[in-house]
Amino acid sequence: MFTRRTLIGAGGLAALGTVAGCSGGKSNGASGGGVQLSVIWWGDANTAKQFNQVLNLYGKIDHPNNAKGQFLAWGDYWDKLATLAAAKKMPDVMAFNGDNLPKYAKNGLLMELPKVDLGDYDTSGLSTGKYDGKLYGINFATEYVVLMYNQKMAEGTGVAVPPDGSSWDDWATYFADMQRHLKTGVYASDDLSPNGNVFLSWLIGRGKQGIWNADGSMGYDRDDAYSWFSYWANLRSRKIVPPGPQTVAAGQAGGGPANNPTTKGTAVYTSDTITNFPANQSVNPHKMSLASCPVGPARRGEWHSFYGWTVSAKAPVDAIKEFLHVWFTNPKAWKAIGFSNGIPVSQKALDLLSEDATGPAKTILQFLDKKYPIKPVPIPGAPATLGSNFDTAFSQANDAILSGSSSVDAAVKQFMNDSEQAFG
Amino acid sequence: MASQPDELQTVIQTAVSSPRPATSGARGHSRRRFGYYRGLVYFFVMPWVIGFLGFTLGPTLASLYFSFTDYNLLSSPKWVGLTNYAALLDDRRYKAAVIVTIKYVVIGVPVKLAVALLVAVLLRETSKLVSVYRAIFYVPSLLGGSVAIAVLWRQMFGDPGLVKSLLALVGIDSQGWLTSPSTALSTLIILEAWQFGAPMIIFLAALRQMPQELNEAAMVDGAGTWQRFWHLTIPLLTPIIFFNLILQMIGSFQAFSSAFIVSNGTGGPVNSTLFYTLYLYIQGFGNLQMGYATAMAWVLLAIIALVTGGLFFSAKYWVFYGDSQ
Repeated sequence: MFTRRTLIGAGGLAALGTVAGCSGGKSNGASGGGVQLSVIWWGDANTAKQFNQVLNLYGKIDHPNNAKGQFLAWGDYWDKLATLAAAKKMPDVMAFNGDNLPKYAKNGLLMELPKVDLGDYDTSGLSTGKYDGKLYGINFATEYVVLMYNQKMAEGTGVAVPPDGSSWDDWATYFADMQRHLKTGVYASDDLSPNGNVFLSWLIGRGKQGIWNADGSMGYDRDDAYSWFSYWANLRSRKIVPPGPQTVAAGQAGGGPANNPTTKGTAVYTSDTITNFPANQSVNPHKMSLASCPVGPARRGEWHSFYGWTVSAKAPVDAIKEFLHVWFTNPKAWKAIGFSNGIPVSQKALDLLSEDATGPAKTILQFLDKKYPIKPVPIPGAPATLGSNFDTAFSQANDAILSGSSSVDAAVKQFMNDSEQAFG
Repeated sequence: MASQPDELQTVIQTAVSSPRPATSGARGHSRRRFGYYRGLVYFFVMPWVIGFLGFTLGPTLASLYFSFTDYNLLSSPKWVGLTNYAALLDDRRYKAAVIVTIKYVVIGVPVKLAVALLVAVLLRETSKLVSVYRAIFYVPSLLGGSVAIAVLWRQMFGDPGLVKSLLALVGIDSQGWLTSPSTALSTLIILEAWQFGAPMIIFLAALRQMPQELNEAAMVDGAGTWQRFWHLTIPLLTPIIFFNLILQMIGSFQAFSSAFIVSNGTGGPVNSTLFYTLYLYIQGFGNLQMGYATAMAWVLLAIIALVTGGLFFSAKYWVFYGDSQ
């Protein structure tokens, strides 16, 4: 028979069981007495397939240790990670970007990385993974913004693609020439004014450090912003890019390769990071090609920010060292990942991938062959307190202009006010 | 051996029918019986109690504490007193969110209730097809809050979108409804009004309960359809209108998913769909300002409580109950 004591005891056990079931992704003991690393990243099923191949490889090499991965969509990833951090259940190995690394490092949640054997990995780009002078992350590869275009449509206009090193004005002229050969409803370029990555290229080309400076202060002034919004307003008024409301609608649909007008066949050119070229090509039925980002008045516009692995402050160090060693130096790992994370910074990896490249990988290699070695400008991590405030200010200024509810002058004035508040 | 319900009944009957005080032996017996059932009561109530303490009361009290702290999820909260509440007064976006939400509630709720009442009146007549129509009209309420419908709404009212294309067919050149700050909120209000099924069902049930004698008496006195509706049906329905008004008002203040999906989480264009809860989410998870977000949540609770209190106060002037003088 139940007594009050046994019932309360049973209830207590049930509650404990419930709480235990809520535990997160800490490293666990692997079967065989080793350590199981928990690994998390954002991406799609295709990325997961590639990453899991390397995780399995690590499990074979570092037996009895192994790694278990999980992935989320970009929109859910940072919510999940913040929640895990609050619960002190952060996974051992985490994909990070430069916007988020500083605030996690500042709060002592990331491990200052130990010395790891990275083979011939070019460590000159590691500065983007540093916070307060200490290394917290290793980039997967190098990535920077490029122009992507529908090759058939571009060639069909008979207008020659501007050579590498062309300026923003050269590109505007080219787009205008091309527009004359396109049918109604098809535009020479996607409207890139809401694209923060391209705005960053604009600033780099003008000799700025970026959207923010290394000391966390605002990296642009009114002239930078005004010239940016005016450049695109000019193309819009000449019907070289889609009407403003269509660009707002594409943003509301989530942006990305699936929603850009180049994929939909209504624009010839768009822009994205080179990492995303395979994703853009995969949803576009036509062959796409690559062109360099326009060059600014001060220098080239390519930039490179952090995108790679970081490690939880409480992760097991020895297993982590081996994991990173396998990830960055093993030829099977290079093969599994390919160009999905950007352009490998190991020459051996690049040579290996060149041997039998096909499809988007071949296009990337052809693009790289045509260029002198591009050294993108490293971008410091975002100020730890910035949050999404810059993105909000930037998108609001764009929406105001694109929807026709505000002039460029008024939108820039508001943008600068919001920016000053955002950067404190 | 008697079954347990029989035993319980015997205990109760003994207690009720006995004119004299129960002996100590009988009292001990019944106490053991009640102790047995009390144990079962605890057992069955415990899941709810655990859920309430762990997932409702605990988080509620924790959020009250966090609202007085600077808390970013990544480090321990630091006590800052009323700073978060004071900061709300200087936050331009917060003010925009309050205005958008008030517009949404003040316009959306009456429109939704009016549509619900209208459809309920139309469906009052008994016919074989009424149950089919009722189900059809209720379906949007089942689907309306879903992500899929919000996505569908974006496709319909976007640019290019179905609505724009249809208007173009009849020579009306409009811009995308959701891409213009002046019309974006109205599309969300339409989406809200479209989900009128729940209040409609409640109105319909009330209309069916209405005494027909009053209606017939009014007809005999020569009252027309509109007069009967306005002077008879509406006054008799005011308790139900009040009930629906309270429920819908609270739900509308807490609206989130439609704006989140339609604006891709930004509340744009230019804050035009920035619902209060969406801005709260942006502050909490976008900016990791959890202390600020919880302060917003408590202010929202206070606003809802205030408006609800105001409605209850006003009810004595316009809500007519059957037993009122």
